[in-house]
Amino acid sequence: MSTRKSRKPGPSAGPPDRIRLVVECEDRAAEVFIVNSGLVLVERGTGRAETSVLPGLYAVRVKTGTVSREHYVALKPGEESIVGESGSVRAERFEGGVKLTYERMTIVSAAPLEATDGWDASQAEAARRESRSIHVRRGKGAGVFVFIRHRAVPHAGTGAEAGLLPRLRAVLYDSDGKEIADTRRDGATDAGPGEPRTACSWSACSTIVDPGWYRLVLRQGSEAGLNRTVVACAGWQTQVFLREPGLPVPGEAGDTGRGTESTVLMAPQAQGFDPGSKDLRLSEMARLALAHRRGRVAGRLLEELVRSKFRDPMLGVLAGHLLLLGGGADLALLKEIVLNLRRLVGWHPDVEALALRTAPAAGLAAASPFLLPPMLLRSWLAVLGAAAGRPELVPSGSYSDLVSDRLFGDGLWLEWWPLTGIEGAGSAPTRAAGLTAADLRWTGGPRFHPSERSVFQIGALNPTEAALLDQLRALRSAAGKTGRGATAKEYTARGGRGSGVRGHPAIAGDMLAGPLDSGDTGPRLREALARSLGVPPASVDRLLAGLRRKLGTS
Amino acid sequence: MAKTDWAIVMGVSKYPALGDLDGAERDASEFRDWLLTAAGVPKSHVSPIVTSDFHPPVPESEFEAKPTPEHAEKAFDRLWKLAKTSAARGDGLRLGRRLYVYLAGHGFEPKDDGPVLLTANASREQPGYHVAGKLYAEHFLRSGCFEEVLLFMDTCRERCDQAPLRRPPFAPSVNPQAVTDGRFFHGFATRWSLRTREKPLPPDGLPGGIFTRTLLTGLKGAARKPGSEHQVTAHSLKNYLINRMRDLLTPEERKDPDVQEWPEVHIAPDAEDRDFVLVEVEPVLFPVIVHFAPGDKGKRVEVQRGGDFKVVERTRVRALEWRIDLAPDTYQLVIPDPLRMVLLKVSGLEEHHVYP
Repeated sequence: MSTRKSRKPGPSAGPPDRIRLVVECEDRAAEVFIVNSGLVLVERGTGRAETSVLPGLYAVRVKTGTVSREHYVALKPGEESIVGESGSVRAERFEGGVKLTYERMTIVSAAPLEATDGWDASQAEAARRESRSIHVRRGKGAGVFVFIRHRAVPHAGTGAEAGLLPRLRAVLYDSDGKEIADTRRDGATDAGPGEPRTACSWSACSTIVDPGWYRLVLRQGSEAGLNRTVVACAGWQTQVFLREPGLPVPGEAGDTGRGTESTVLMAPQAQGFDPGSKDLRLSEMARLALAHRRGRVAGRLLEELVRSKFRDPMLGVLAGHLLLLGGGADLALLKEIVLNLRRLVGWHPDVEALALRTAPAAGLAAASPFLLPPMLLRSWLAVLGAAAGRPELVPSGSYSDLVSDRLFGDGLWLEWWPLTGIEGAGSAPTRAAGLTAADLRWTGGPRFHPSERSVFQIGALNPTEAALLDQLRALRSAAGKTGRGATAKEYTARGGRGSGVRGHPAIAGDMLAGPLDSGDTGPRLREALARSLGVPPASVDRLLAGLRRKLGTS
Repeated sequence: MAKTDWAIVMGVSKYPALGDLDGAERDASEFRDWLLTAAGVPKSHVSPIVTSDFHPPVPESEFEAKPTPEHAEKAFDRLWKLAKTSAARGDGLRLGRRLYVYLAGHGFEPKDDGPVLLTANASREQPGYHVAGKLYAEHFLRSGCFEEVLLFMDTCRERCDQAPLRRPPFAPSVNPQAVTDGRFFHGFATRWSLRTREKPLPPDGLPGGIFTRTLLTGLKGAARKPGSEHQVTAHSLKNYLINRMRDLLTPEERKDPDVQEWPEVHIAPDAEDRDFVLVEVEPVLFPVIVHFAPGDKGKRVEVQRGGDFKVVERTRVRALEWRIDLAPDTYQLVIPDPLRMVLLKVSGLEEHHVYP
């Protein structure tokens, strides 16, 4: 938020030798920095900044997400001017100063919004059109629209295979595991007549559903892919935009792999996607700010949110998390956001996650458990934080519990690897209390995702199990037991990955018996382990059971 | 005063399981050289730990690769042992004035405890082999072993919540006075969840981390405090890093959303009126070459300093190249008829050529 009260440029307010510098941005959530020639920051703001300074050369930097522009302005009384190329900034002199106005910056977005990286008018029009169509009807009252922008990939193959690279597709499931829609089978593309559906630059699928929680699976070829939450709210269309990652292609030099870029917007159900919408652009800027932990923009975003009377629920959710970023958040304001969002969208796990962060006295904290995970990773972290002291928030055997140690990546959205035995089986992952850890197998997933993000998966212990083993070893050492105790490395080193795990049941048994079985220390230790491992307390017992099974001690 | 400074410098270039780096060891060696020369740290007080101390021979796998966390832990243990010896003498845990910790190589961030440096034996399946630089830095400051701790980490910070954190083996030891009065500078090459970049750097085209290059150029004088010719302070170095590191990225590189164009720096105390000196330097000048067009011949050209537009250099154009030496700062080159004002940022990071 701008740090000074906004006022029209006019006669200098300071001593006669000072010059007013005003910077305004069309992007209301852009960060503005004004730096003097000694590299000292003299002023900053969101969407706008204003200062009175001594004559000199000043750098003006405007930033949104990772996109920034920098210009230098020479401030001499009566001769204020931009030094060098002005590009997309306008300079207007007024008495006593100069105002720089920045046009909209090209931001990075998976949605074909105007003034975004890779903007394509035909894709924008396709998204607008298809979001107003109905490709699948499986309920009523809410909508889910998925639009995938495919990467143009020249294929080095020959003959019939040329151009037929596996393309990203998205499949929507309901909370019972029933398939609802598949972008490749049910949606629309720009593939011409006679062309295979994979030879397209976009694909889209608009589905009418009942309000509720859904799971979107991103598939590449025949491999089961990452899962994420999509929430459909009554009267709203949840719009999921995906931009296909750069994948290594045979014959193409270099690994351009990166995770799928994605964004989620919400619009009134009948309205569809509007590429020129200022509200949607603001949501995108909020997403970028949250992705890059730029909590300072929260204030300005919230001003816009209130000004627009909470027209955009996603902006509200993102702004709420931004508010929490720096510590010392205005919890009264957060409470107001939560109440408004509940009125707007009803039940939504990300709204309820924000409610957990309001002051206890506000009485807003979610009473019902989080059987199903939220959309945002930060929402999940809020749930974990609360679940450490209230384990019932994430019940054992719930879907949230089962995916807690299968998370992928470190981006904005909560994503997890699939659970075999659940997906597509038609079973109910959330309400099937009969499911136990023994029913599940760790899929392993692709060992290295094409993206550069870290994926830690091994055939023997998964990373969370390995971390738990380390923690238990540390506990045993701290309790004064002799010897270092075996480590995961030592297990896997003997006989190769996976085959050596069962080699030392005696040691493993000694390590795995003990603290967690103690009636006195069990709950406290469980809570500490949950915090340390980044999983709900309910998951600790499940992980321990898995560890015991793999180490041959159960 | 530097006689009581200590340093641990670690640079890991060879990672059989993660992919080698070209510049990490060289960066660490250059930082060590700076410590021994300009910073005046006694050689016996510097613990360098670099890949070439152990290899060749080339390790068969990550299980044979070094250095490992134990090498760093041994170096930190040595400091702690000396501190305990001091305490046993009745002098408290105070070991010296300042501790430098410099770490370069692959890295990530397990949780919110700051980035960690992965050691040579780490892999995607075993990220637990790392050195938690920030936790060590905090321990040695909060325990009162040093008045100041400077931590520099030229590593990535991709987030991985579920990777186990290898904590320093020290029980908490808090000296309330140290917590109140202690000073620190934490400089991380990138921000949380992002990567940093190593690339061929001028003048020799050898690979190096852009953070380390900017750091060393700043410490050698380019980051001197405005109004002072001889001092690089915590705030002046922070400002230099934040404003100048991006100059080593091309416009295309700056567009990469996974690479941060400015580092993250934390200082305590943070108030500018409590700024503290990092190093005393000699004034530095950097060469600038101005390339004129033939039509500029005969024109009077001025170089004006950005802080006050004072003319620091002037000439009448006779030759198409004009070579001058300028102190690190921001300037504008003013050429009349028609009036042109050309920005000139003298950072010391690269050769400065101006084409008005």
